[in-house]
Amino acid sequence: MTQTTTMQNKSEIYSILAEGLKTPTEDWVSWYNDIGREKLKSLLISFPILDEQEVSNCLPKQLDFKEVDHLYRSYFILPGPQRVVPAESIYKQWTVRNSAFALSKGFLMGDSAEHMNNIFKELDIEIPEEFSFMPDHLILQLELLSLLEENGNEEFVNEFIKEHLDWTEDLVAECTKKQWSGFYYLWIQLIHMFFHKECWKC
Amino acid sequence: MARYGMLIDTIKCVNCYACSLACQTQNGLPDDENFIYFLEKEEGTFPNVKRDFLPVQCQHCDEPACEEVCPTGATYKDEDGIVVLDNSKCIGCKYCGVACPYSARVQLHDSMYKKGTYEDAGREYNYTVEKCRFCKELVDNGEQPACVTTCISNARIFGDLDDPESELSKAIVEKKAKPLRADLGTKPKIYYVR
Amino acid sequence: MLKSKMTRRTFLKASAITGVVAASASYVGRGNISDASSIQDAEKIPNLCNGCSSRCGMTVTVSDGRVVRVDGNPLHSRSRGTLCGRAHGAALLAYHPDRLTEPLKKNENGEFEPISWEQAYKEIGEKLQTIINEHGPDSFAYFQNPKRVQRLYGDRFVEALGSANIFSHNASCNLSRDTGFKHVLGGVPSGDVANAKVTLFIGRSYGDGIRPSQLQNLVTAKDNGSKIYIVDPRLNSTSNLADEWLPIKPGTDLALLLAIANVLIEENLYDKEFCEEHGNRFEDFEREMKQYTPEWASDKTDLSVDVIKQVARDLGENRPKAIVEQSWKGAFGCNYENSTETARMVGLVNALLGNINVDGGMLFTSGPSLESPDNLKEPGELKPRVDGAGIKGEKWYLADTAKGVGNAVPDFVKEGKLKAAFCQHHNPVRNHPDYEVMKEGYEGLDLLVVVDIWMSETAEVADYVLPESSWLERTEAVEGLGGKTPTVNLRVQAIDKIHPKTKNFSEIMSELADEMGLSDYFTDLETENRTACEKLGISYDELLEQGTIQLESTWEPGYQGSNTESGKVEFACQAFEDAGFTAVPKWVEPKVTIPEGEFRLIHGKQNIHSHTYSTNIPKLAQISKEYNLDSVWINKKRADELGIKDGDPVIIENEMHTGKTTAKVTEAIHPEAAFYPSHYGSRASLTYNDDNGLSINDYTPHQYEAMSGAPNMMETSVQIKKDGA
Ligand code: SF4
Ligand code: SF4
Ligand code: SF4
Ligand code: SF4
Repeated sequence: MTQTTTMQNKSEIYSILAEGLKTPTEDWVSWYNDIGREKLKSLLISFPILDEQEVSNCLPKQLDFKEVDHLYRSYFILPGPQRVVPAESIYKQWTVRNSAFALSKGFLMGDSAEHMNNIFKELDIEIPEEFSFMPDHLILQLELLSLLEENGNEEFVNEFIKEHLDWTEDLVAECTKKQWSGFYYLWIQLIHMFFHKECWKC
Repeated sequence: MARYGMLIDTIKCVNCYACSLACQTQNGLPDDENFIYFLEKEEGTFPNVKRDFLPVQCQHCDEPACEEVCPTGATYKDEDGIVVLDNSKCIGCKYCGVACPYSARVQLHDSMYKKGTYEDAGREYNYTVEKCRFCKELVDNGEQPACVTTCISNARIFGDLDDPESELSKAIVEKKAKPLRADLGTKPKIYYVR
Repeated sequence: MLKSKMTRRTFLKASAITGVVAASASYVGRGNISDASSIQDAEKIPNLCNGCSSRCGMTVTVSDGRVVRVDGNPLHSRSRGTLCGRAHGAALLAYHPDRLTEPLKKNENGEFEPISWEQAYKEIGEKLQTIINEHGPDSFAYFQNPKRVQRLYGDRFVEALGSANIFSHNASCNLSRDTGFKHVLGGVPSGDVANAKVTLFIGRSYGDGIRPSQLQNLVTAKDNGSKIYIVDPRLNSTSNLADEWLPIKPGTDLALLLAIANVLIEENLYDKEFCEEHGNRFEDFEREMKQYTPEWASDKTDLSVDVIKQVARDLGENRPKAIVEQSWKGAFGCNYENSTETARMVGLVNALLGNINVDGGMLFTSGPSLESPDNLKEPGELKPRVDGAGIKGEKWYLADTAKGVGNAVPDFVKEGKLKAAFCQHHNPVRNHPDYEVMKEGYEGLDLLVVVDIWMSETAEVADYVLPESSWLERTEAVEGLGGKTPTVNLRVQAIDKIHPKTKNFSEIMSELADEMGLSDYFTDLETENRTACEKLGISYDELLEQGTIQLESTWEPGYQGSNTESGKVEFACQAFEDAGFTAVPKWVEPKVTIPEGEFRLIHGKQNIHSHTYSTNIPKLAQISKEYNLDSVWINKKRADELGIKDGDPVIIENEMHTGKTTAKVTEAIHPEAAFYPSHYGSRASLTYNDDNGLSINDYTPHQYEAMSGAPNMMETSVQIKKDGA
């Protein structure tokens, strides 16, 4: 595999992973069932670090739109016992600056959010209004990675992942605590596996 | 040059945690780390009972046990008698924590470093063993420590022990305030009214 | 059909990605422990703390658009430069992950779904209008926390629709107190504790339910050598400031007060002149008090005859600088069948001491009068209140109309009297006794709209939940504080809204009013604020700068008459007789007698929490955890009998509920009482308060005190046993 194809692969992977975290549509679910699952699987197992069985386990065979839609609402949207907000700030200390709340944890708009905003600004990227209070949302981070890979920004990507995607373990823990199961639980684990096993370094 | 000390009037203390939270925010500590902790003691039997609230923090000993054992000189007493820490010298050996009879040393624990510390950003104080510093930054600026300012009950008085005219020195005499466990020999400079 | 391409909905709009970004450019490291006071380029904005409902003046430091520090505002009469712990905890609320971010509507499946503000206004407006057309304006009610912005936009909205059904959260706080005081003294005075020579606290603990200025006044009193008595089944956190603790049997404070009155009169230690000149039917009172001897009261209260006499004498001999403090919820806010009678007696013992409106006594001070623009439309005639408060012949005729019997909602709904309700800054489903009954009651409404910053037990049963901007993200209405020196205060927006779709309460209500054709009753907040200041002759801009402005004192010492039926102090109230009770207060037994082997479950505040919301704040939840604050206090002797040791896991149960907690075994509580703090046991789905203990309201049935309709929150008996035994 050449350098560029890997980068293209990675870009594709990030993009699919991001897409999977968005409000599900019937189109997306049937795409996943018909093509997406196999495609993502083959992209992922092109990284020798990833074990085929492990990857397979994280990718359910057939998704049911209604079911996924329901899970999505209770896991990401509706206030309730299972909602999780996958934004980096919440899982990290709030700020490293001089602040009374420097080492507080569990809040939005921390340093990581601010840094994301700066990156977006520098790259002239606009984010949707509903993400203005969580520019460090996992979806945006994955999308940014996809864009960066596409544009051959490998060095920055590595730096970015080291700094900004070291919290997926805590995210998985939070989902476990909130008794997630099914597609999104596996998806989050897959994302974690990808970063944790340092696939991006390949 | 001064010899800073404090008085804590436990008769006035209502165990409200305001000082520890003000301290936590003054020093930007994580939610589960505090330089001030509280002991409570109950005496007597119903209905003749007394509850004693005791806020404890670094006593700024004149002969600090922590300084004595510190192998690197990281812990030292500054010219105003405040026991401080040079983070760049601290190696995290925790000797000070073991030596301190008041359990006043706090090792900022792992969890706050594991996530979200950007190691490249030049953080120096990983694993240093922190403590109350009498809000040195504020005091140097002519202000009072945060726990003193925030204490609603006015249970805390800060000042110069060498100045017999200071509110602190006078209050110590008037209220017969005494250090905690003076018998331990570190010559603590926080005086308690009990 | 096979779809070969994934349709992407890329969120990021990038023109072109070029070049390399300076990766860690914006991560600023700190070489040392943070010194939050040395923050550079920061802006300091005056605010009113929302850690609890006291609204202490504070200064918020903002740097790069984020809150970096909060400090007490030395100019403010409540904080006087200090802040309690809650303030630091509440500072980051705006950034809390549980924040509601857009309007929610409950769909047919009982699930919430996000909707637009336009849709919310339209649907709520239409539904409310239909309900009012069909059932009349009095089928609509509003539940609030009575602050000025709520009154300007919430109360006015209700009244514009022709309803008088305004309820404050106080039914679960001090409805009995206010009802009692209203009838004997015409209102609730505040104790001039700093200048009193003797103060008797009944259930109220300045060190647990902190309002800084009050605690400071108590410390001043202590420094000045005044004598302080604390009457409480539990040795509370204020105890070290007290000279004596009276460990009363819970629910019998009334007996103590009756006996104090008896001694004051028998030993001629009362202000005869005042009582005869300014008292209504004092002779009746005098006659009735004869029966309540200290011996009789000793039997009821478990206090010794000597102690009762000593307290009475101390008060009498030091009059008029001797007071029985009015309390908040304390012992008689809304807790027992005899709470309203207790409140009447607190008022009357103070009157016996001749301390009404004198230095060191019980003061009636008024806040500044704040007015709205003249051109606003005034509400017309209002339908009678659904709870019948203040209406002769109705069950709760006596109840204070400024508070209302809000705990009766489930019954109003069942009786078909109430169809629609708005609820803001208040969580009645959790905060009134009996969760199941409350839940069912509120669910039974045809329309329930909750305005809040995150989900609550009440929001969970609502039809619409509207997201409010949190306290540091909004400017509020100019508000006044009474006292010897009245002040005007303001909460000023400190940071930009974190969630762009949240709105201020004032915006929400006036926009809904527009939708319903009620625009003429409202104007925007800025106009309200400027008008209020102009009419007072102060500068709004100065207020924006400072957050607080002191006014000239308007307080005149000396008795000024009472706002009661007779215009005097009512030692006997006709209204009580009209309502089927006795004109002169009399002994009323608590409703529940605690069987041998059981406990009366009593509750109270903890100084790092407020109501039931603050356990969802990590900093504060952490303290609860570290110091095991969510434990049940049990008397040592009782615990020994039950084989319970300090720190043991225990089960608290009665016919309503069974729950687990840990025991704090202590000598510092009356054997009959089990104390559990009132902040825990949330059932709402919030991030930081899972496993957070028990709620006292799960153990108390839905019930009413006969006089005021208050929920009798401590009228319940529980069993406690060791878990696993
Ligand atoms: S702030 Fe004052 S009253 Fe509160 S716990 Fe600290 S020393 Fe005690
Ligand atoms: S109290 Fe402990 S930490 Fe503080 S100076 Fe004394 S020995 Fe050192
Ligand atoms: S931990 Fe640091 S300050 Fe403490 S003794 Fe060791 S080097 Fe000195
Ligand atoms: S008492 Fe504490 S929480 Fe309440 S308003 Fe004042 S500072 Fe804030």
